[in-house]
Amino acid sequence: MSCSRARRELLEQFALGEELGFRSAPHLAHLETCADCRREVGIDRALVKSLRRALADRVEGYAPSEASWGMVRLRTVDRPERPWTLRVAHWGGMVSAAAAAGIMLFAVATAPDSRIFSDTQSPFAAAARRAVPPVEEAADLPAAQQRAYIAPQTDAPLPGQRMQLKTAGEALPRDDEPPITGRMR
Amino acid sequence: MTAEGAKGIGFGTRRRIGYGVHVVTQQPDGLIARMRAGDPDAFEEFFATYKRPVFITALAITRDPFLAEEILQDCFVKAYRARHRLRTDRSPLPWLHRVATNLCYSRIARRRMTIEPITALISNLVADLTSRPDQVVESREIIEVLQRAIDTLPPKQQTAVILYYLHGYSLAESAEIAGCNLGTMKSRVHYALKALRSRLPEERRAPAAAKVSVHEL
Repeated sequence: MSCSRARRELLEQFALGEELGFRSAPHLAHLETCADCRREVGIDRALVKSLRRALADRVEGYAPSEASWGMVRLRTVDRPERPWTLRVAHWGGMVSAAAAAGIMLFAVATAPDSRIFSDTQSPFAAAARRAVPPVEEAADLPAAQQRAYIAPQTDAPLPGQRMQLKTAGEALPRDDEPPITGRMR
Repeated sequence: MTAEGAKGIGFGTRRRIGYGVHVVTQQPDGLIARMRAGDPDAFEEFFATYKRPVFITALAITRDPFLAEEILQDCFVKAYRARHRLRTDRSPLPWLHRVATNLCYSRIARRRMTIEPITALISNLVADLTSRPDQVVESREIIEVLQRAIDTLPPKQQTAVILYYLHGYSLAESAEIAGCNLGTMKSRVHYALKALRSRLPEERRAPAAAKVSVHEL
């Protein structure tokens, strides 16, 4: 029998019960010849014994107080049953609060700048894109306008009006100004 | 067994537990049924029957008698509210233990209890080498180190150790209380012991001249 097997099985013996038959001949024979295993087994046995003592020390001398039943009784048997109207009102309040929280979460998640659902097009975000089309949408414009297209820097047009696109000449920046790239945040 | 009684949790034989008190793990006749029927005396009897093991579990985990008392009360309030769901054919003790352990760990997390690092304790220990490893490990200081080490165990291992070594439940019963299978419980106990042993000071764990007779083992 190897040392590792003997130690494993003997540790289980001390730790987990008597199923392995610690005093079996192979274990005893190995322990007779192996001082290391004897020492390891001795330490394991002592550890389990000390552990039992340590745990017993934690609870020794303590008991539930006499007043504990009185406190439990106050909160259970002696507590008047709430009428169904109060219970309904309580749960109704909980449901209302949960619904309000849900609506707020939806509003936050679908706001134009929200990155929570990046793959979806919320109604808010779609409206914002219609009002101020990002530069990628210039691809749909005629070639002349596409070259001259820059993202609008002014307020969005009113409903029914077309976007006033600036020409390339108009869009040229002055030397002292940084170029407008048209990239939108 | 009635169809109604087949729902719920529990196990049951009468056995002696680790701290020297007989705990009736089999439900007294009709106790739950009488509780369900609204008999206040039945609930008092229920409380008197199961309060001690629940309190012991809470105290062993929290090491605070006042907190253990609070947890005991909360546990039985929960039991009263859940009395219609308790099994009538089996002991409610496993369920009570599970509720108590859950309450303990939620309270501990809420209080953010700080536990002194074990290394500080170990470094303060005075070397006390003897030739017998069992004598070494059993010393009072080692017990103190173990107390601290138990506190640093993960909650699941701590619960396993308390159920198995303090209450003296079998592995199967401990597994049922903890809501895991037998192999998992064995593993938790094994790793808990390994962790506890690793936290013992090295010089005390493996004294140089350890000589243990086979017959003493």
